[in-house]
Amino acid sequence: MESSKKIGAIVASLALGLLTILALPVAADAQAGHGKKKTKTQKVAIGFKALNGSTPVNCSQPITGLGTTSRTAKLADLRFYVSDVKLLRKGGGSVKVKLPGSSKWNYTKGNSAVTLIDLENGAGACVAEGTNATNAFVRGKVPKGKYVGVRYSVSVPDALSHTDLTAMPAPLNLTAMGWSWQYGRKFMKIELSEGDTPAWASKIYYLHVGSTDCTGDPAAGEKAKCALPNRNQVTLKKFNPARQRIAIDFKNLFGGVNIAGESMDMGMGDDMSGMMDMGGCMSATDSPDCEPLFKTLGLKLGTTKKTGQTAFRVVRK
Amino acid sequence: MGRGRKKEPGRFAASRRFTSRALALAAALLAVSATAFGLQASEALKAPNNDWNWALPQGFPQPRVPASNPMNRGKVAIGHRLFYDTRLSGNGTQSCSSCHLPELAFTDGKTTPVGSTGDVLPRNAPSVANSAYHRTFTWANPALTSLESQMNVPLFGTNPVEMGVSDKNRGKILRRIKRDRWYKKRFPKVFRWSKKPVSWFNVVRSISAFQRSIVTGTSKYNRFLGDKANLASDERRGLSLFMGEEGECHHCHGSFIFDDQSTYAGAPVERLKFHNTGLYNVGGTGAYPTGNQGLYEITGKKKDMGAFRAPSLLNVARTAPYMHDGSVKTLMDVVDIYARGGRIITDGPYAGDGAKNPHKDPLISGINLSEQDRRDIVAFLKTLTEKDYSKDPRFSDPFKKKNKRK
Repeated sequence: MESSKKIGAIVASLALGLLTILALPVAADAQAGHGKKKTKTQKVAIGFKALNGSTPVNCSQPITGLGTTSRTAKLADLRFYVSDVKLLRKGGGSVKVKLPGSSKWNYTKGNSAVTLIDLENGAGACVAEGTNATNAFVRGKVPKGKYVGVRYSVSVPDALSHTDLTAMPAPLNLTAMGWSWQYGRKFMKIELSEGDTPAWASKIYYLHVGSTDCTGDPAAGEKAKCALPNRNQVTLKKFNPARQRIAIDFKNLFGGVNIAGESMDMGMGDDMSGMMDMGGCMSATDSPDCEPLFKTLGLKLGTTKKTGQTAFRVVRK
Repeated sequence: MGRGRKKEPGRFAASRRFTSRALALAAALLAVSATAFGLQASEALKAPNNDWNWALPQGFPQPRVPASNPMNRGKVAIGHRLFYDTRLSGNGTQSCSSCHLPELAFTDGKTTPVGSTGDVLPRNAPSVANSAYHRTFTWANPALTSLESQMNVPLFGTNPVEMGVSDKNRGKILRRIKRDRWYKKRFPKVFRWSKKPVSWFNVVRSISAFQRSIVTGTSKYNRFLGDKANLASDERRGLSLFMGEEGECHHCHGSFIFDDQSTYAGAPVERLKFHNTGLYNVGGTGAYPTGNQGLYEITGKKKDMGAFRAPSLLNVARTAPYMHDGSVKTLMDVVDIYARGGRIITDGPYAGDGAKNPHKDPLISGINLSEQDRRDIVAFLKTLTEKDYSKDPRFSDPFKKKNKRK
């Protein structure tokens, strides 16, 4: 704890000292730019990693001291979509990060673009639904300039979210990231499997974030609209992608919940049995665990309000 | 008895001067306005997505077909076989028909189904017959308004697992399908425009087309509407109670398929209806059992607690047990619960008087029905039973037929 604070302080001072992004400026459309005014761009790669305090989180190592009851878990899944990525200019304002078209990890259509961050490698407890390939970066281009921070949303834009996963290309074709009951996508899928004794109330602790209270079916020619979009906004005012990464910190994310679930002898009524079968949060507005989990993600459960998040923080590369 | 409720036009049922046949026809006409029907008939001729002979029963309108999935014979045939094909599940043990058996009007006779990997599902398997007319799918979900999108749930869902198709096995399952000579011959013909004809996209569309093709109305009641059968006196009396203000059943089961959410080509867009019918009132709080709380699970609004879709009653005598969770065993029990204005559970974890559920639909106000009335309503409901789908080659298991020939 003490050492992680120290590291944090060092990271913060580093960030203060190096406000500009060190990246190679490249000329956009070098050939097509003949006769036109050339807009200089620079590449940017925004890297993510997963930590539990200061310890890296992966599919193979137990994750200890998690949640209100300090339990040990095994990572079973860790994927989330990132969209609406912007770099914050020095002195104010922001620019959109333009993704390089579509690839295994990126998809762009019109004004909507999304990147899948996949921090599980299909090993260990991630074997059930995981994949071998991983992706820790949002890569794109921004106009050449001086940037000091980053802003993004852990979500899929509506225009891309409510689409047919059997018809969409990567990274929107994954069944694991499907949110079939709302005909959309899981924005975030983090799953922890039982890693210690006594036995958990549910073998797996789920965190599935997605839009809810949706109506309208694109497959029937209607426009999908969700009363609770559950799209957060993460703003990291001081972030240098060349030297830093964005960590999703399980210590903060799961800090307010008991991942092992309520123990059976706490006098819970049988009415809670359904909840016990399925530990965690699947974005239901009456889920007791969703409220603290959503709060760390900058969402106020059951509303469209966005608040400050604590799940993501800037760390050294 | 509907006291304090706004009087509705056409309370003809209160008077017994009208014959039950006139009542029934009037009800059918109510559901399908004559003008809308006239319009859509001409539209249907132009529409390329209706290259299909629906053979619509009397009073049944033209089904709505998504422009992205036109009907044709080849596609329906592929979907028919896929619907019964256990190779479509991850571990090869289940097909769509495992929970939608033709002999049970495409339900499974269980309280709630069990998925291919052993997960127990929370809700009773609904029929897929006449699902072409459904406005929403599953028991309470306004987000699922097409067969195509609904199918993502049983295919890819993981909480609970039904067919168990995942990112790991989805390619393998398609290869199983590709290896089959029957499919190999047909997929490229039907999906000529596809680079990869055997795809999940086309699998989903084929099965949807087959399900959409299950439009039938062969029941005694349907034949009665077409002047081809007579109802016995108890059945007539039951019909009159059902359609009238005594029974009040028609408010939620008054359409041509006896639901209140049906749609068709050219249908007006109406507010979606879901009802709390007073089946539970756990601890007197108005709650339904956790994990089975209906529309509330989608909207998070207390008023939607326990609200579910009113299902079609065609074949209702074959689709026991009843209600969203299969918790009511017989038709007589169902009628008793509605007559009481809700179900009382006297002990156990779900104890409470459903009749006093604060979120209950005001239409479920309790009905004064004699023993004879109840028996007659059930007699009428039994006239809604269709010919056994497992004996109709358009709908029956194609794998069984093949086995017989050998």
